[in-house]
Amino acid sequence: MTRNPSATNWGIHILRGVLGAVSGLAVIVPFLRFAGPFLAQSGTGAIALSGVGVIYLLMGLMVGLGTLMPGPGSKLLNVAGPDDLTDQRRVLLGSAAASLFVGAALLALSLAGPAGLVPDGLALGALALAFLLCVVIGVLQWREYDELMRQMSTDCGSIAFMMALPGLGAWAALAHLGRVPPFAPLWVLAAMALALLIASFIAAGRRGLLIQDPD
Amino acid sequence: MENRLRELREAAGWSQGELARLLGVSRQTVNAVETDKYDPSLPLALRMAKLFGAPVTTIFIDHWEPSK
Repeated sequence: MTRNPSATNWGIHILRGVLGAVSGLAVIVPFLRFAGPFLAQSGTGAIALSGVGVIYLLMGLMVGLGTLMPGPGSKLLNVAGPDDLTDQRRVLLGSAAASLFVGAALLALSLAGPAGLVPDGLALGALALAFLLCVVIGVLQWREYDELMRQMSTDCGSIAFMMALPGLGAWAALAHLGRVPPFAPLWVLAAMALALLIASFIAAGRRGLLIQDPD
Repeated sequence: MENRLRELREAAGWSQGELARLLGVSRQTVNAVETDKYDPSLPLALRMAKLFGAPVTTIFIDHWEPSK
């Protein structure tokens, strides 16, 4: 039987939003106290990259913890019930791990640089490790995916590319013509990571996975 | 594509999760097909037809007509 997306669902959506905002603030406020002055000196690229890194970290943390605790996790994550988390445990834990590694690497990179809070070598190593792990996890996940997930994964890559290319391309063209300032290298990384994140939501939304319709 | 998957599943007394396990896909995939958000591959459509003992054209309704 189909559950009507009614007041109950709205309540859950509001609860998820509030918890997301609270956990976001719980991470961002201490982070800004620690790194704010350095980021302000490093420029907008570092600020943007650290923001995207924090989002990846929080998502990885929430998905990971939610999957490890399916009961409360099903109330926080966008799933129909605990069974969804149990059935897809390996895929979700893989995604959470990838998200955590990428988030940590982006944060480390945003805090590196001349007089940075993180040594350059450490930031570079973290980024290389994150990319490597993403490739390994991606291959393992592809084997676990069913056909819908494979289609969504392909859609996600295409949408992210179609978002990043015109955005960065137009910016590059205008910067070449002197109409806008040339972008900082970290802006490219932040834009691509953000495009991938937004694309994953668009791909899921197109397949109706952002609004759960349990039987 | 319009389909009768939910109707057939409910007639068989299966939940989305049970049907998903029988078909070897995730519950989300069954849900996406039922809500018309995803058209299954031909192998999956054939598996559904075999499971319900009905032709694919009974489960999936295509209103296309060849032009004359």
